[in-house]
Amino acid sequence: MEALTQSFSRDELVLLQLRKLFEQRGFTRVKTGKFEEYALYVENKNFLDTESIITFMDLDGKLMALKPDATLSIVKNVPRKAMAAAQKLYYVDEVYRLATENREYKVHNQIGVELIGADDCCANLEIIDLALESLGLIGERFAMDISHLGFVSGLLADMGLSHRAESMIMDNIHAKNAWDISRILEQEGINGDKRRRILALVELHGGFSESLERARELVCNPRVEEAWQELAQVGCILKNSGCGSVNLDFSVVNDLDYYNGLIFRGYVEGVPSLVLTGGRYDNLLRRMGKQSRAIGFAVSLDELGVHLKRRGQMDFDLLISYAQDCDFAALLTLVKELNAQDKKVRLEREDSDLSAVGLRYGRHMRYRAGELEEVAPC
Amino acid sequence: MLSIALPKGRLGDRVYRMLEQAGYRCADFFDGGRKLIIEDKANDLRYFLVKPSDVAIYVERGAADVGVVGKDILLESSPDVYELLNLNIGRCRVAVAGPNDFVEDKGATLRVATKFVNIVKRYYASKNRDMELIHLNGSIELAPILGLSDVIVDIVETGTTLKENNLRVFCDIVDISARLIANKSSYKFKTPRIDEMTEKLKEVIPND
Repeated sequence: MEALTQSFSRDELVLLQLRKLFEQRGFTRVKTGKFEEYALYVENKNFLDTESIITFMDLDGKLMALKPDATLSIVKNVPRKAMAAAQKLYYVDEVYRLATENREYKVHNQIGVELIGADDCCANLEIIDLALESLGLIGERFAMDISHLGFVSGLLADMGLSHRAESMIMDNIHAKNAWDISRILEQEGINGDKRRRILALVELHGGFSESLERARELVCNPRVEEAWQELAQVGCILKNSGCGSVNLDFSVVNDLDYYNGLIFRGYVEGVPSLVLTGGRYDNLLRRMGKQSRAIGFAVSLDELGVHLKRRGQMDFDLLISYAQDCDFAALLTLVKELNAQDKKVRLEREDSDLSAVGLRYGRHMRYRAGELEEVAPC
Repeated sequence: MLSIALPKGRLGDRVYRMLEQAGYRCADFFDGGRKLIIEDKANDLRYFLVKPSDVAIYVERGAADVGVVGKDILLESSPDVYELLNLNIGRCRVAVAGPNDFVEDKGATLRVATKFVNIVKRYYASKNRDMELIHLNGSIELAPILGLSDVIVDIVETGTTLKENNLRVFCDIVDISARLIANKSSYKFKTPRIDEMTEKLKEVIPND
């Protein structure tokens, strides 16, 4: 296996390791199609930005879409009635989204898990633990931010803000921009204790258990209390997070609007963009008329291949040059023997120059009269 | 090593002066000549001098851990970064301006020339004002003079350029100043260093 994985890029390797992990934990694979009826997204447009979906007509004139998200396609198949047992699923899928930075469509390779079932507080723990282990497999050092949307919205609901001010404050919470928030609060005439609470929310970050203690003081109504309790439950599994740090950070936001309750994001050192994103999405199921609750996460694989390169690796162990008139059949037999010893071998005509096309190799040999002889590096 | 992207030119120099005051002295900063990267081994820092409008891209994509950029650029490109501090320098405003004698015809489509496409779209959408956007890259003041547009939306510092061209400000859209931003992933792994820099810079922010 070790020899086999040598030829994989980092994202391919992570994909295999994560699949193994998910299967070990009893999750089964579900494969969804590349397309989905556009109507699904229109019905759920509060949860997904429908404007940027790529659509096309199928042969019957039905409007189809290239999937911008895998979770919706999985959730729509969940039975309406409460299920006898939870569904634990994982998927490996391509999704098509508009990149905000350059307004171009991008294909994202994702692997993700979904736990759909009855109300079960252990589901939160199981998924967050799985997310932490996934991050540990991806990078040596990782960080996970956990937040609870009920905590943030519960706190803001108490303030009596206009809808516009509330969404501006949310945007600035995501950017940890305390300065602009204090200006908006000033304009809205909010001061004293309420102002202090919101600014404390923005500036609160750091280790999970210490931050949770500090957040206790911000609890001001039953909704926030409930969110705090849910966060506190998560605390018990974080002790074994290995070489990762877990933070309570209320700036966590997700691109998709269907999350409610607990949400989290994972970063890996060396990858500048988000690696793992997930959370609870009971609202989505409720809206679809299903009596289940759900939590899940997805790992984006594309950036891993770009940023976590295997450095200094040769493209081939051995380069063998051959003349046009050599015994090529015998040479192929020789190559197969070398492959059996886990050597990567590249055959090239005598007159070709591999370094000119940017390929690197370990040793250079020449095939002559049934024998391999070393070519001295020039 | 902490990488800092600074805007080339006057604003970048002022930011460096603030960093120097905050205790991050780097002897090579002004001797660099045309160097694009300045290393400060003593403080374990590295400066990149880039085009002001590119700072946010360097930070968002993680080529730099932190950077300093004008709020106008953040509003225009909405990068996914943390905005940690208002440095209160490079202050100006984005404003609507037009010819001194211009009277807005509320019954007609307003033609607006600007380089701040997104700020302008959001502003007029919030007022539900019908308008036609004309995207220019420079010499915006010329547009109303030649009749290309009715008004312009641009950065106004002192208003001298406007006055010289017989233009005046009708209303302000938003106040601008330089902001310290950080890459979200870098912030997770270099929290103490970035927090320390933020705290030290807080001490040297000029008052109004």
